[in-house]
Amino acid sequence: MGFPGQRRRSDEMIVGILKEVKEGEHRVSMTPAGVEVMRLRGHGVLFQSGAGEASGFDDEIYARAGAEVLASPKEIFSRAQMILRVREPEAEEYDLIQEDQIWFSYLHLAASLERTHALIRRRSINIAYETVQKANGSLPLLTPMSEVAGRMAIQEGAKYLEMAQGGDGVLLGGVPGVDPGMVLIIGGGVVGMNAAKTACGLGARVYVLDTNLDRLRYLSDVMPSNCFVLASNPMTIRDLVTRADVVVGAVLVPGGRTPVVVTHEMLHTMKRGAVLVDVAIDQGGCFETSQETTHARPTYTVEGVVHYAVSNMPGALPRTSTLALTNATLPYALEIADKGWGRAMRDNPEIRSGANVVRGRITCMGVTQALGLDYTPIDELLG
Amino acid sequence: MREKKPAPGGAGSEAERSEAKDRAEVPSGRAGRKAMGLSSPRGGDRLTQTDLADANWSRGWRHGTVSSVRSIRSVPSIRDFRGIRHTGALAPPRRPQLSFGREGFPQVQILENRSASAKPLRETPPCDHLWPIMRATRCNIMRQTWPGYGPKEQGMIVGVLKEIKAEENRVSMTPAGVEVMRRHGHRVLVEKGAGVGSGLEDEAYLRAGAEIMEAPEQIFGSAEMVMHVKEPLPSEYDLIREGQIVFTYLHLAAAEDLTCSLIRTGCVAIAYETIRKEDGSLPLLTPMSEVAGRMAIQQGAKYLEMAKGGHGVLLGGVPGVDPGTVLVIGGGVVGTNAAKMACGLGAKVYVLDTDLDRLRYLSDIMPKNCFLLMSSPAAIRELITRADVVVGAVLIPGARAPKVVTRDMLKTMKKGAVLVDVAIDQGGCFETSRPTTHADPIYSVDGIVHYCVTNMPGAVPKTSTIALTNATLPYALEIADKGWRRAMQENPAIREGANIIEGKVTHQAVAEAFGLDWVSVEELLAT
Repeated sequence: MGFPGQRRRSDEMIVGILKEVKEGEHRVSMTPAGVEVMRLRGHGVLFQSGAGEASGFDDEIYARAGAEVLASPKEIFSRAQMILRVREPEAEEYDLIQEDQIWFSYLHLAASLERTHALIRRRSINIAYETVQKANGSLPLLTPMSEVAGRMAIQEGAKYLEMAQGGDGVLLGGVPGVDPGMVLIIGGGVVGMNAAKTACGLGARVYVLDTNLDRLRYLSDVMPSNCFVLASNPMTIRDLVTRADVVVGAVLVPGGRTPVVVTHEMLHTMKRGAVLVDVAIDQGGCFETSQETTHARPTYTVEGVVHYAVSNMPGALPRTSTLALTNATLPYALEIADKGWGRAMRDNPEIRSGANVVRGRITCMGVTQALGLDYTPIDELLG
Repeated sequence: MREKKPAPGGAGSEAERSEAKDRAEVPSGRAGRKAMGLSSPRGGDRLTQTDLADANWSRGWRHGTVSSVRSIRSVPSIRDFRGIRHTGALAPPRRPQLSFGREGFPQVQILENRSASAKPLRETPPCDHLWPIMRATRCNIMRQTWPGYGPKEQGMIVGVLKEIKAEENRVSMTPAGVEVMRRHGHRVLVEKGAGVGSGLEDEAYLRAGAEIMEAPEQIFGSAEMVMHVKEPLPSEYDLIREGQIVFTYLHLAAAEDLTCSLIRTGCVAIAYETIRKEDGSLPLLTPMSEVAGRMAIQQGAKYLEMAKGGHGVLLGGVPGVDPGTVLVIGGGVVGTNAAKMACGLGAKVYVLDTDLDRLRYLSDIMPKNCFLLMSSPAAIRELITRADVVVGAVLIPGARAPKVVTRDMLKTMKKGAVLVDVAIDQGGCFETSRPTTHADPIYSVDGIVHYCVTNMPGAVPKTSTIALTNATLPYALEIADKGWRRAMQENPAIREGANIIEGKVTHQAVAEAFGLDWVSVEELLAT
């Protein structure tokens, strides 16, 4: 086991991988490949039996990679120093969290006062995927999921355009001699760009709207010729929705509620059976008529326009999403395990920005603002 | 008007009077003309209708007045006239236009503006002795002088029926097609609501010049050719009349009841699916294969989602994650279109075909993420273990599709992979395929999701209707222009389409399927 990054035994951390409890969540927070790397660095890995099944990894593969497979989550809570999960802890798990235990997952604390209070009470170290931020402002642990959601958005649009699904019966790519469908993508960020790529690949006419002119220039350089990039404004949107077969809402204002870009009134001007795909639904949705749906019942119709507003879209494709997510989370998890949370946060501002609730103090400005609680700068706790 | 014609060759004064009378009797303005069953293609009030079958024809010509020619049934050929035309003795009138009379028969009008600037074409009538022949051939001359000038002698009445089969939203002619039909001088009867499923309102058909009919009985009762997308259903069997042309998908070899009914009615049944070009391609199946091929990938992508029973792979992958593998068995129209879409999504695409030339061609035109392999059971056995989506696109024209994926192979596949059987209409090319519908499209066998919807293009009627009618219209037009007999004589593709003519089975496969007598079309045409 000679590996350059191998640590002395005294430094090793025990990492626990918990099974997801939220319904419809099939991802897992670490792949066997990640376990192997963890083991090479000298850390111990506890793995809850069955956690990786939906993502295509059974217990045996984890065991072969060096994880200790345990049936009960309780044992993992009691032994692990750092717990990795995809989704936030649920109410029944709060009491299992130990003091100074590191919890590294998506947390979305701004949306839940109850959970925030529970984590404050447990005095654990909570690092949220979604607030880990690079120096250039990008969110490296949201990007992979945005990529998946953006690419999925088009295949959902294409599917629900079928008449049996309530759509108006247009094939996005058209065929020789028939006009292809038109896809309008509002927002040219990661989601929008990936949606546009997929739609262009299918052969549709694709319009991407964004307010950032530099971004538009970049998109115009890299996208195929069936992609048209336009500056976003209400008038352009009003004009283009009347012609669109699929509208993808890919607007994100980091940390805030997404603005409403398609109003109820505009639906009247749209084609009957057009499809709206709201990828921003997790942040409140960017269509006025969006309501959160699930993969079991993904669509509903308003004014003859099909709405697809499934929260957590990537959950439907766990094999791809798990890999995409763990590719991004593993380096951070490794750094925290290698250095311990204190030194990792001191050394790496990205991890520092991920700290949400540390030893009973809220260290994320967005959470305190949303919930009206006291804010403690992380530097105070580290110093 | 025809009754009021003076005898040909009457005295000049008499002719003059009659011309004046004729003019006086044509009320000016659109309403007046409409009341007479005449419509002016140009709408100018200066038009005067004169029947050229009388002696005034020459004067009309000389003075550049407006004239009209009624079509006549039996016409000598232009060949009878060739010498004259070549000498220039007979200057062809300018600007021929077409309008439609009360009976729906076309009239030909030769229009000359009587404006001050318009020079009389000729001072004296040319070649007096030739008038009788000219009268008989004028329509023919004009048609041959200006290609696409108009119909032969009379238009055909074409009926466009609403589809009554479940889940069928296509329509056999678009308003664009109706307009072309009208330009060729045919009448088009469209059943109320026929285009609604494809987003084409009755209003659009009306504007294009169709007549909207409430009931299919009316259409079957008066149309000389009826067009459908799907085969006639039992409720329509008795409505089909003797000699009526039925132009639609028929799939007779699989429908004995329908075959017998069509034989009994004595109609002329021309099937979309058997129209075959000389290069062997099936032009009226191609557009639907294109749609089905392109749709196959979006079905595969969708049913790979875990909530739908798939194993949760995004076909295109994302940066850092391996894309899905798509195996397309068969590199024909369906396979090529499926591969194009899958490549566009960014998947790893394998296309298998047994035709090496086809593989070479595909290798030239497909993107780099498309890999072309020679098809063999061994290749399929090997690739299928890695595939996330398998598209069955194998077609042997006129025969059942071969089973290229057996039940044993399913056990070696990834759990939650998706099989899309596009060949299901021909019996399916996976051993475990059985037909499903758009309402309930999938089922699982050994953990493998099967998507085997028959008539896949029916789910996207807007695209399918246009794709289909783009292909069918030229044939429908040719049949309407020439009548089925001449159309079949002149166009071997249409001849191939003939399945049953006036009670005789003219398609060998149909005759063989039910042990009926087969008569070749050529033989029928000769009699």
